[in-house]
Amino acid sequence: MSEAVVSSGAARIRRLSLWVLPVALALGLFLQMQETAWEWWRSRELFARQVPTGSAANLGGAEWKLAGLRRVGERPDDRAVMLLDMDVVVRDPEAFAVLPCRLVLEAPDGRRWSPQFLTPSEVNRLPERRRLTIPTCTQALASKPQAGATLRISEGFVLPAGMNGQVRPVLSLPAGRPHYLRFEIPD
Amino acid sequence: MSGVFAKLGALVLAVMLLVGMQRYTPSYAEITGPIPLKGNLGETLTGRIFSVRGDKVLLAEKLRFKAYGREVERDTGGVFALVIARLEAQPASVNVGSAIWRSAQGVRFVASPRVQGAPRLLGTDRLEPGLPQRGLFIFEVPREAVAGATLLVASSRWPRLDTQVEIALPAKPDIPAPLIDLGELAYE
Amino acid sequence: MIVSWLAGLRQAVSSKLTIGIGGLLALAITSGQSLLEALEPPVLPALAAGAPLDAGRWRIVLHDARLTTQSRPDGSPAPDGAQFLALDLDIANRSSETDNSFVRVLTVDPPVEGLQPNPTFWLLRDKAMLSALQPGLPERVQVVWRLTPGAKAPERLRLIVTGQTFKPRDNLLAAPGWFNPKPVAAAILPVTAAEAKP
Repeated sequence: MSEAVVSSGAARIRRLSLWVLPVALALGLFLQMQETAWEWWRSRELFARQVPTGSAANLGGAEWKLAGLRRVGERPDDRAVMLLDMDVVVRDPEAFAVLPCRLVLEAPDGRRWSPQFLTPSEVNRLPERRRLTIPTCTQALASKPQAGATLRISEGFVLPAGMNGQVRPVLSLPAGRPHYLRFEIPD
Repeated sequence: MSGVFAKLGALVLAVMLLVGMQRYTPSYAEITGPIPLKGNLGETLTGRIFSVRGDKVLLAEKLRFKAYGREVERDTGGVFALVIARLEAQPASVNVGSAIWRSAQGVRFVASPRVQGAPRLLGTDRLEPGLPQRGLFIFEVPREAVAGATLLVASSRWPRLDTQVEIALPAKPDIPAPLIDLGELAYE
Repeated sequence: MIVSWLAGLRQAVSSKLTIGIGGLLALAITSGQSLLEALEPPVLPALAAGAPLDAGRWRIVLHDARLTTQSRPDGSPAPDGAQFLALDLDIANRSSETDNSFVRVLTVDPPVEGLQPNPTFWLLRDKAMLSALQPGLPERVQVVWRLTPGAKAPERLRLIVTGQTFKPRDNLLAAPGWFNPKPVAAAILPVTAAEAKP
């Protein structure tokens, strides 16, 4: 191999290209990652908003208000059944109808209980609920209500006995992320 | 002369390197596969979303249980292997849907669907934090697959980048009982 | 000058020749392959009743096929008086994992008129529906097809057994699995008539 003779112009272009390469790589990476990063941002529960007792908060195209969280019964092996009621006023029906709904009870140590199906006998014990069908969060979202509609949403939970007073409802909706709501409960 | 040897040596080295890389590069399925968490019977193993403790292995030639109000008896060409275990969700409610009996030879036996409806089967109900479930995994395996097996517990049959608890089971198991009535089994 | 031009020409010609020969060779190989495939005999090996067959993932033994009025192995006759075609077989899972893809092992070919697709597989040991087969544990299974009411009962049944091959690393995820379903054998079974019962 003979030594190549490189003109000064070519050398300058080569040096310039080498400098531009990292910039081009970074730009390409950014363009590639943009969608993924956005999706990650929109799928994460990052910012909790505390909702004081008795007040409503906006999330995912609706106003949410805690209507009640109480212990309604026991199951064997030290398990308690709790019922959570929420009042919703729909503002933006399109954003509101995006599934899935994540409505859970959260303990101070971070443990989370998802809703469970309650037997009719557990719910019908409450006089105001007889012959009443109250939708769950998913059912309410799937029913696609109009703007301005007011809804009552109810979910049942099974958790260890002695947890009432410690757990707080946490609501997270696809249209509201990365924000989510944590409701304070009355003492 | 030495130049020829050097070239030959470089060629052999390159071939060896390439073959080695081709053979031993971990596959995509392995890289993104289950994250093993190994332990023994009696140990509580806490994974990403649940914790499990295997307590005891029982073998039986026949099972009897009550399912959907009917008395059911099941026999087998191999043997029924029962693992009494304790499962708990940690830190959120979760379904732990997969239990596999992996024999010493590496054959994977999924929990038997023939005992559906039997009492206290693990993996059927959702787990809740703070409410451990004590129950049974039931497998149907050939006799030669019993010794030195491993119990695999995970949220799905092929977990991707998720915990798979691997519990080493006894190398010398007992002789199978002729019949186990699941209604009379002592879990504690 | 002339010498270097000649050398260049020689190089160009030889490289063109190499490319041409390579292309022709590739063409010849692929056409040879497709010819071979086209020439492959369409006659499948015959499978006799009672003879075992390794179909890759499964080992099967076909037994008798018969018409029956029972929709399930333990059951009383179906209330609407429908007829069923029942086939007994032994089947073993030869793979290294519990599996339920046995429903794709048998195909009726040519199709029988009035025979409804998607037969039910019954595990005779339990007289219950078969949901999965464990490796190394052969089972006696009954496959039950429903006949459309009023359809003429077939006198013989031709079944094609589909086999699969094991790949230790597949092309997408480099994971082991069973691929390339292919007919491996054909069986012609006489269909015995329904048992005459009062």
